[in-house]
Amino acid sequence: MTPWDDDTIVIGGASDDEDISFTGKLERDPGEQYKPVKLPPQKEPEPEPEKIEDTSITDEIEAVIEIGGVSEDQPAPSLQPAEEEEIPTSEYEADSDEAIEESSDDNIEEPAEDTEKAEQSEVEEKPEDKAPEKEKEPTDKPDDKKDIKETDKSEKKEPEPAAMTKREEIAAPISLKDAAEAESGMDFEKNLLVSASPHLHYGETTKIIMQDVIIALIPAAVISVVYFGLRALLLIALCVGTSVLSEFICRKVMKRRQTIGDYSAVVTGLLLAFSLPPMLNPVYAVIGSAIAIVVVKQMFGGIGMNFANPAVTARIVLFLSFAADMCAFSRPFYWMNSGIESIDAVSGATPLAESSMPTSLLELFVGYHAGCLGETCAIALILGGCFLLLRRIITWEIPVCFIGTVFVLSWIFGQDPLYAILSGGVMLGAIFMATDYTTSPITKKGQVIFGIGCGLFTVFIRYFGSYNEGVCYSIMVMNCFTALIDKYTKPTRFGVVKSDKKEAAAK
Amino acid sequence: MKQANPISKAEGELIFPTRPFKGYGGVILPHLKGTENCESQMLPTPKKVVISMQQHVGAPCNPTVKAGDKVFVGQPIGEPASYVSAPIHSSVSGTVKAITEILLTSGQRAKAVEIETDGEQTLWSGIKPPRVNNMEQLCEAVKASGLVGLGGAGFPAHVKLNIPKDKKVDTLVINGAECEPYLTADYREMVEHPEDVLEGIYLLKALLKVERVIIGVESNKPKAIKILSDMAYNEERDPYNHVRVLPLKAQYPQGAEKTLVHACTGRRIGKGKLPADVGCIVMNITSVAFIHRYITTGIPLVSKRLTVDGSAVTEPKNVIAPIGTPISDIIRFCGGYKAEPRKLLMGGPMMGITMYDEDTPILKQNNGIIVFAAESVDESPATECIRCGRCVAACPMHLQPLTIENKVVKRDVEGLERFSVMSCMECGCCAFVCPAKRKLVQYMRMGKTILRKAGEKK
Repeated sequence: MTPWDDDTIVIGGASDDEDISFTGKLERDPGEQYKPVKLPPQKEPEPEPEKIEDTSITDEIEAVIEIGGVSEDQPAPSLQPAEEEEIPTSEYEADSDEAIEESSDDNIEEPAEDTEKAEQSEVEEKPEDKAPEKEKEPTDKPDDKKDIKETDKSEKKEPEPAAMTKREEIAAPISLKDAAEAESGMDFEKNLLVSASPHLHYGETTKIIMQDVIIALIPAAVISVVYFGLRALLLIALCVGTSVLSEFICRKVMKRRQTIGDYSAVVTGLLLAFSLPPMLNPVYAVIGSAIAIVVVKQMFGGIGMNFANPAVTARIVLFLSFAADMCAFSRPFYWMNSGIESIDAVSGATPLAESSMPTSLLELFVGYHAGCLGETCAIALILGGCFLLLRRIITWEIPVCFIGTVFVLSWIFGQDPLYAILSGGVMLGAIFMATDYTTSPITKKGQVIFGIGCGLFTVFIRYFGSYNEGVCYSIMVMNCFTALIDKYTKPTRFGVVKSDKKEAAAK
Repeated sequence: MKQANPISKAEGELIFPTRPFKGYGGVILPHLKGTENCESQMLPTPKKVVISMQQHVGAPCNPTVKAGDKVFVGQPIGEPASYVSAPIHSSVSGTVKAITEILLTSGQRAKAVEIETDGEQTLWSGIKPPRVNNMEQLCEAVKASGLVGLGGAGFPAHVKLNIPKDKKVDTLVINGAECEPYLTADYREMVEHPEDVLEGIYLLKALLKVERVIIGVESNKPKAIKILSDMAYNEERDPYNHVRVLPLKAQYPQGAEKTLVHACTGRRIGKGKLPADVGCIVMNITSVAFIHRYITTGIPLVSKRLTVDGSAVTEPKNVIAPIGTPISDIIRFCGGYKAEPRKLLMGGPMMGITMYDEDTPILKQNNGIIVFAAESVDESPATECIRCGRCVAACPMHLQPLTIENKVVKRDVEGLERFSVMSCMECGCCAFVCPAKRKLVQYMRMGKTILRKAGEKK
């Protein structure tokens, strides 16, 4: 969760570009900070002009701000407003480009009010013509508007070197009254918002998370279309469409806030489509999607409230209802020969159901075998999983524990462990279905237990049960355990040591 | 960093960590410290100041002046009503206009002294440096100086320094983390007045008789780390190099007391415990520097360095302002607004409090004024919790904010106790990472209130 991991700063003060040569000697009277309390502030340690750097936030930081959900509005300095032309160039020769840039900023930001305000300030300043220029602006950034109006006076001051001007201006005593009249920056209509802290946000919303999951599922979707043809595309479109539509109708009927905008229904539809065989009757896909959204998700209260993964549960429902159709797998590229062969002729068993091992590991890896739409190609799924890990959408705990447990257990049971993890729905289940936030534990410890549990149930169902495939069942069983796992993996509060725990237990 | 004399045996088992102890939770924030190179500037004396009689944790002060009185800089105008309180001094010279009542950010009302300034800033005649030879005298002096925890909490410093006899303190932890984005007030203190910081540390070290002083500074301030570690290596004042700088991971909330003590010493402060319970005492870097300045000059806490920044401020700056200055005067000094302000924060963006009124006076413990323009304020509504568990991973106190939120909604007092909502320090990490943008900190506060009310009923 740390996209700004910009820890490039050398720890220990070994920065190369800074010329800090602090002798450790007391050069300054320690009480000096208080002297400026007594105006005039000439006694304040004079800031060196070189040190007054451009305080505007650099591009790099600005980029970070945008990630952080707070965008800074800094117009490009090249945008020179028309007003700038009025300024005699000689006046600004002494000043650095920086000053001009900044002054241009000021003008851009309030283009409509600018002339009006300038006029206003002119009128207001007339009675105070006697006041010396330096009394008005103490800052290193002279108010350009005023300079335009008071060319006579400023000409007397400006020809001096920039450094000198700056220093004098800082040291000059000012009165806030004058500054207030000169400033137009305080005239904004105040409409202040009061809210609870924090006032920064990471910037990642549910919608962005779901978008990332969709992006991660795209490789597998593309591969499925390549292998299984337009039929795959039809199923994916039907599942996604039905999911979104049923979510829309559900929220409307329940008179709740519309949630189709967070794309979670799209993810459910995609995941369900991925676990369907390519030749499935499209009506079944529609039924499955409707069950996933209406029964499993919305009836429990919508996103975040369902106890079981909608896609997994819908698949189980379809599997139990239409067992024969759900087991009719097709070999990839059947559609190239579809003109000659009938559908029945190309349907083949999933590698898990075959007694011998006709599919090689490489074929499994690239997905060139019969199976469900999105489950076949391990590499596409792993690619998507890596993307999710990099974007920190998922953590490694669940997928690694899930796959690892299946690997180790299959090996113990005398099977080819690689074959076990690459076939069936292990990859899809472990990376995309078991990691569903809502239905998995919230603590890291709980996620490890959850992953191991999923792996155990998968292998047990595969080797001791009557089904060839156990991934969806294992995930659903573990979903039911999630609340329990959460209860027993409550993190120990900061500062609680073992003795405290024992005391609490004794009570 | 220079390595000095080997640690003497007198130190016993005390070790100086070379890297911070690894913590749990927390988030990495954008630093956004745009003002770190802005030299502190003195605010010209405002026309009037409103000095609140409640500027600290504890009982409010009673005003000792009345309308029409002439006051000078450093003159006490508020008398502490109880032990956990700190006197309040006039930050300007001028005439007391009225004793008014202001609405504090907490919603309470407090008395306030409104002073019309004369612009002279004459020092009060009663100012003289205190004599400090032992801990009691130091506590007295600190109490008289009106110092409160300058890190933001505003806990009276003399209460913190008055360690109970039965507790042995062996470590002084100096908080220079300044983990909030935007804020650079403490950083400027370290860079501009490192000698004050070090002198203050030597004073406290000698009086507290501690053998280990760890200055925790976040690694995003390499300049401050270099200056302080170079100065801390001082053979005359500190022959055994017992004062050392520890670069901390630039992570929020590194500056929180419990997190900081853990990162610096590896000790964990339990629920409801104080740093003294684990043998530590924590002082903010600006507080330490102030103590030294007070001992030398006798001028109490009358001004504060503030970072003025945010997307609506024309010229972000570090400003030293008299306490009680209205925010609007400070913003005017910083060139006013460049966009319509939408959120006005007192403090950093993570824990700062929104102000509804520009004329709110600043308090002793304020260290920043952040103004956000409308386009950088996110006002999108919260969506449903998706149980992603990010708040759990981010919580530095190892709590489960999402579960606590459920308990708050259900008004489940027993559940709130079980999930120890009282341990929450409202750092805001949970709400910061929440993809549903839920107002988790608000729920935590509600949970605390529910628990307190339930406790009162019993």
